[in-house]
Amino acid sequence: MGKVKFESEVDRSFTEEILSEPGGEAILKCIQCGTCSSTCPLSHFMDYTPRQIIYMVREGFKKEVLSSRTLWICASCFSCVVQCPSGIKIADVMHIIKRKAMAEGVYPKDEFLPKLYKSFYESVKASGRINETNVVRKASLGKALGMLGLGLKLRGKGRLSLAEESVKDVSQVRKLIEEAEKA
Amino acid sequence: MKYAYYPGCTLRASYPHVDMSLKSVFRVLGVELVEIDDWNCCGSTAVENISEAVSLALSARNICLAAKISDTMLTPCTECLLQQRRVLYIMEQYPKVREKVLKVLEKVGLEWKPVKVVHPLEIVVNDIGLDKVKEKVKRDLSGIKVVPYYGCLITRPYGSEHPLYPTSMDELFSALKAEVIDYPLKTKCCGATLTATGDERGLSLVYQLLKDAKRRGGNVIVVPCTVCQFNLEVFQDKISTMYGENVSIPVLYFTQLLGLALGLSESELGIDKLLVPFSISAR
Repeated sequence: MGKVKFESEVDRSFTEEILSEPGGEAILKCIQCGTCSSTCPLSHFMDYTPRQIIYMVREGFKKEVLSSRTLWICASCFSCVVQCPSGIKIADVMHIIKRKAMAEGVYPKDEFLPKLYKSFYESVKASGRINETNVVRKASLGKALGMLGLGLKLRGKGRLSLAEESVKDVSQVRKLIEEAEKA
Repeated sequence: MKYAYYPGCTLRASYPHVDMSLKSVFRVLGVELVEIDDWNCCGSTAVENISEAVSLALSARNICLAAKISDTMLTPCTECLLQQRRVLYIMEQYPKVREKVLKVLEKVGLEWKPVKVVHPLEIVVNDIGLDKVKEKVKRDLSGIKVVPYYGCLITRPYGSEHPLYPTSMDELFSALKAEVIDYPLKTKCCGATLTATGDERGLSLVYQLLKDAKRRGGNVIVVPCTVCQFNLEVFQDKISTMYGENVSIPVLYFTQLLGLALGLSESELGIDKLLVPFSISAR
């Protein structure tokens, strides 16, 4: 876990922010049993386990939490959520933290998912719908070339359309998104 | 029975076999699907991880539009299903957030009207019922060893079954006389979008699932989730090379195998669109 910190070095307002969001309210009930980390199918790839993340959020280790790779390894399978004996929605806490890391731009730059999320978001905002393949292509900037062979196979089976669809009432969906962004 | 059908973006572009098998099976079972007019993207985890309010507003709009057709909405993609069930849950549990979402909806002229959101597997097992399904069987599945893999989101966190050991697909395929394999990994994650980069994080999870399905003697894996269908099927060659072990096994969306038992043709069910071929007559 991160180095020992003096009280003056931790950010207690970070803890308060997480507590105030839907899904974040139960983190103070954590008993550090580690059920989340043991049921997590991906914890062995993480820099901090889910149990450590909850502890660090609680203690105000904002910088370490927001820049952790763990956020981009969690696949949101919700195994931790349904098994936590204290009723903490760990996966939802991850989502709250991810939103903050995205907003502050402090995620590891070699992680793919933040780029994918941005590309996805822009596409929804533009037309109200997405084309998965195009979203991935835009996010990976040519790195998806390694998947070209697979892409061609899928295309041969009619399973990889590049057609962009749009909702009919684009202005309504754009307004909906803009109003929600302000809300 | 009439349902407001929400296909979602990926079903159109990447999962025509899921879309067509679903429609074919429900036609035979007498279920009417009316596609929601002008539905939008659910936003998925991508939007949820950027803006909670936008994510909730997007699914709230779809639910408002569904309510014009039916009090029940049908969603085959489990990620879309999660987003819709999440907005229903949040609107009920968090009055302050509810107020925010209601205001956004009002600004675009929509009125919030919650509907029930169901997955096709739940319709088959709960609304139609296995007795009725059995009456329609033209060709039972005896001799086929079926591995039921549920994945995460159909049961977690908002499903109606046990979150780690659901049994509805086991019961369905037993009723169709298949030999259903007991599969302890049935709700272990497939890695979801982590497989997109093709590295070990995502693919090691898929490897474990495929290896165990084969070790237990399965002929075919059936899934109720589109992402699972993709992850378990399309990376098999890559995984076989990575781990030096043949992990090849057909992976069908559950309505594809159910449809074969109902006497539908392979082309009506998109069986010909699979990368790993499956044939009922070869058994």
